[in-house]
Amino acid sequence: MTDSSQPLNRISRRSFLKASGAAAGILGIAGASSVLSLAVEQGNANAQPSEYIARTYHQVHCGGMCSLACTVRDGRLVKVQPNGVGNPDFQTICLKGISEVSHIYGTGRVQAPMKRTGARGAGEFERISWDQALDEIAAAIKEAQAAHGNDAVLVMTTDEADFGFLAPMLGAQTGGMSGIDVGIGNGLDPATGMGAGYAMSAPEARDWQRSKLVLTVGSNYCESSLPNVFTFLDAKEAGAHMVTVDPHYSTTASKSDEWIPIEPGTDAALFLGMTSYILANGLADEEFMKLHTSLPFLVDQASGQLARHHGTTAIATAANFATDSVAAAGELGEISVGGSPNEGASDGATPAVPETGEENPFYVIDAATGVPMPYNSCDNPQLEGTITIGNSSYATAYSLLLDTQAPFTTQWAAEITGIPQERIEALAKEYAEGPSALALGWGGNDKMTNADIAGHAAAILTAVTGNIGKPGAGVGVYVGPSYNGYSAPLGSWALPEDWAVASSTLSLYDMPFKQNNVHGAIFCGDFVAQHVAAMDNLTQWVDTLDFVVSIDPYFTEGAKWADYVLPATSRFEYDEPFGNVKSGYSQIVIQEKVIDPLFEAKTDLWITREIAKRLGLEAGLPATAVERCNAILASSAEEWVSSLTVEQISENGAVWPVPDRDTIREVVPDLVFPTTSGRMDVYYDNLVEYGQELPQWEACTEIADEALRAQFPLQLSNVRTRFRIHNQFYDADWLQLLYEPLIMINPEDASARNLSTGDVVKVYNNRGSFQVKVAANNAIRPGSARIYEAATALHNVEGNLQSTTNDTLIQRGSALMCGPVIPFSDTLVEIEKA
Amino acid sequence: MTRLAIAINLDRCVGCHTCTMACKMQNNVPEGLLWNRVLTTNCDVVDGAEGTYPNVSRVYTPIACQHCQNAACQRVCPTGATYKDEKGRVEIDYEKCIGCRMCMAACPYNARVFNWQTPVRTTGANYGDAAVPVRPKGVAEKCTLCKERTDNGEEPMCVVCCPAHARIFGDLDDPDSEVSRLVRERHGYQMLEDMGTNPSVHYIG
Repeated sequence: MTDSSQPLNRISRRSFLKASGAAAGILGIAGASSVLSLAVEQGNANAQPSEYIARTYHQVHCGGMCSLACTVRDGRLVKVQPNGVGNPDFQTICLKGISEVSHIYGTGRVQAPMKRTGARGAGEFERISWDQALDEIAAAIKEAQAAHGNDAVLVMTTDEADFGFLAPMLGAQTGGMSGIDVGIGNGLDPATGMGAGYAMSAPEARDWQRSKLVLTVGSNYCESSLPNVFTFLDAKEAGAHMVTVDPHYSTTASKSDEWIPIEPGTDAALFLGMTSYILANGLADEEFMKLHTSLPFLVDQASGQLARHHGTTAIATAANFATDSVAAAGELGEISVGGSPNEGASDGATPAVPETGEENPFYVIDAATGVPMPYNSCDNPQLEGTITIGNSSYATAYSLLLDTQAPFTTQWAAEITGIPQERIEALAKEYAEGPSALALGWGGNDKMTNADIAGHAAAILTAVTGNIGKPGAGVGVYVGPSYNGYSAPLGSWALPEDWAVASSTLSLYDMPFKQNNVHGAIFCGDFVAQHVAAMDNLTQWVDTLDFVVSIDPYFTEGAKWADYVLPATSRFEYDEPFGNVKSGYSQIVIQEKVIDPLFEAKTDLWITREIAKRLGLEAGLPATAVERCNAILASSAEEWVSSLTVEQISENGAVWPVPDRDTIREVVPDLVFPTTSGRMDVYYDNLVEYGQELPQWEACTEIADEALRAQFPLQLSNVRTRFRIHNQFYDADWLQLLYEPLIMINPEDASARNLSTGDVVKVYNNRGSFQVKVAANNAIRPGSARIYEAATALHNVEGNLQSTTNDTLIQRGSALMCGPVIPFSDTLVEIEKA
Repeated sequence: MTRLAIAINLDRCVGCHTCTMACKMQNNVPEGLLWNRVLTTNCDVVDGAEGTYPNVSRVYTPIACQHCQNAACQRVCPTGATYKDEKGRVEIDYEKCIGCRMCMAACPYNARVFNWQTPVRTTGANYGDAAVPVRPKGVAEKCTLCKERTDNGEEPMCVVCCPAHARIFGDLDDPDSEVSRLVRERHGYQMLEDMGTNPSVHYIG
């Protein structure tokens, strides 16, 4: 049989006929529902007759920040294409950017300021003038702040909304910890000192071309990083072994060399099992562990704290260390415990600014002499060992790790994860060999109660193999080219000195349950329906507020709870030649005015200034957006940026490349980590009270609850998709051709419930319910259901996905780097025909 | 001679439908119609899988006019509206199309769509390339290989926009072109080869 005969068997003419025209989508063209009754307005009063091209950046939230060349004809956006200069790899686009040609004119737009007429949540509004809306909102802000203080106002803005001045201008609270996308980072980032709690510690994905193994766990890169998906495919063609671990046969799994199915919420067990195998079989990188991790550091066995040179809790004296080598290190006083930056408020003696390892060294045992030494004076520390000094006994973190890893055999991991033991072992061997990239994500185990343990276990796995800081090796989230490429060191508009956001003592997810001073809220983006689980609790709290404002180009589910809904412009509309300047994919990108504001929409700066005027605050704001653009550039710390103007960037093609961007961006190539010790600090002594100083397996709280599972047998994953960016683009009619909200389950789970593809089903648990269509799909793991996130009542058959999601916060959450993660996917549901 | 063609590398295609959208935009394709679709092969749901979990597989197959050298649509067209042009593209003269839809029945790839009604655009206006003719009610339409672009030496919009770099455009009659080289070296094949239509569009992987 020749190659050319394969397609005859693979695809039949009938296949083409079955999926014809626009009905290629699962269920044909979805009806666009909208609470808006306002008619779509056509055209624009100031339409320019000629055709021209203007450039703007697209969305932030996917990490794409694609610069788009937009063709305008007769005042209307008619075409978008990838824009850029130089290397075409930086000229990106995806279907969402293209869909804007229709989306920005669509029925999802808020066309005019609206005021609520019905109950909150009912979605009933009347059109009002901008003046009335702004006057009433300003009056409400004044009243709340006069009665309760400036922090009576809560202002929350997404990355997507350019309303960054509002909160400092008003001295408002900003919603505290996000609880989103911080699950893995909470566990991983303290070890690397990078990632900011979001696990963004990876080099850019072009580095995969230099990897031998790219191990993707809990990430659907080929959808969620679509504009630069070529990097994944280039790496595969370059010979990297692409292996994807996912409960479902995701797009990324299907484009990989191998898919390893895993039980949801058990990524930590996989990493723990791999680590045990590596340690037990001599596959670890001893040199890396000794010199670039905290594994040789001494830990006080009684307290579990890392021993330091000095501090308030003395446990041994210099006399105990009376050797020449120690004396050479100088000024050895008492060894003490504590001082970790993660220790937080639990130890009142901890310095406000944690001392570096240089200032207050950790201790290791010198392998040659057996004597404890400051880690930075010893180039051959003992990995394994214990030592008694006075009445205290110490063990190396490595020795403790050997103990804590003991139960986590590959046989154990196989039972927990459902991955065959031999496969885990082979994977461990291959990973250890390296160079290997461990590509983690925000859409999988990140949204579960044990996410931090998975992140910590990933840190250990990386540390024992040294798969970081060298070409082809890295750990963290690789998604989003503008997150992982070179960022442009932009400056910022200098706010008046007395403008500052109020401290956020509580996070949005806690506000329904704990006393707080919020009396009014301004949401730029859908915080009400998207940022917390079990959203009905939040909407009940929102209903108690004196005023609620939504500012967004599009009407969102959360806007139903607002008193005022204000129409902002999209990225394509502005009232000045230039709107803003941002850091894109290894380039500076600018927002040129493509078209005039549509409908009655106003720009971010106009809306902010009009509120400021009514409060006497406008002097602190830029008078024009062009002034803002040039201030952002001029205030950069780097000359190549500060010497630029927005006009120059426009002349250059609306992008300005970061110098040397063709060189693959690496992280810590010198292996000096931005941590306390300058190494991978993998031992978390701030978590001793939770037993998580080294990662200990813990099952998810809800999906591992056998009793609850008997009642609600399906784990509900809510994941990202190429068709949307979170809640954005649900109202894009061209994308509605391709996808409408639906829940995917395995055919065996469908037939057990007598369900067929296309049926409307009720998805429910004790927290709430919603209704969508169901699709039977062999890509879905039996016992699980999969839905794309942000399925709201605006587009579902009925109700909100978020009414069912799990809002249980784990006890150790407050001790974690970014606070607790909201375990959206640690959720059990049952499905039945509606 | 010139034989303009696209090679689609299925190993690289991630099923994102960006080509579908790029085509719709560029060519002012009205509501309800698409010239370019991405099938999840042998699945009745988008992003479905063949087989039984966990022994599954998935192939995304983008489908549009295959620009056949022996085009079934051309042979059955009673008015000569469908023709083969000098660059090897199958094109439609909308003036000559009488809406008989014989071409649609003949095309083994179901690549053609028909304006049953006066075309509707949700934006309320035409979009895409101004040079693309606006089709009236009652004519068939399909991928033109972005005639208005490729006549000017530009690549088709689906090729320009593909985030996976899975689509290669060029001249199959030029043995040194990238598309020729890829088809040769990667054993490119044609869809439904046994139909004898001899498509210019080739698939790889």
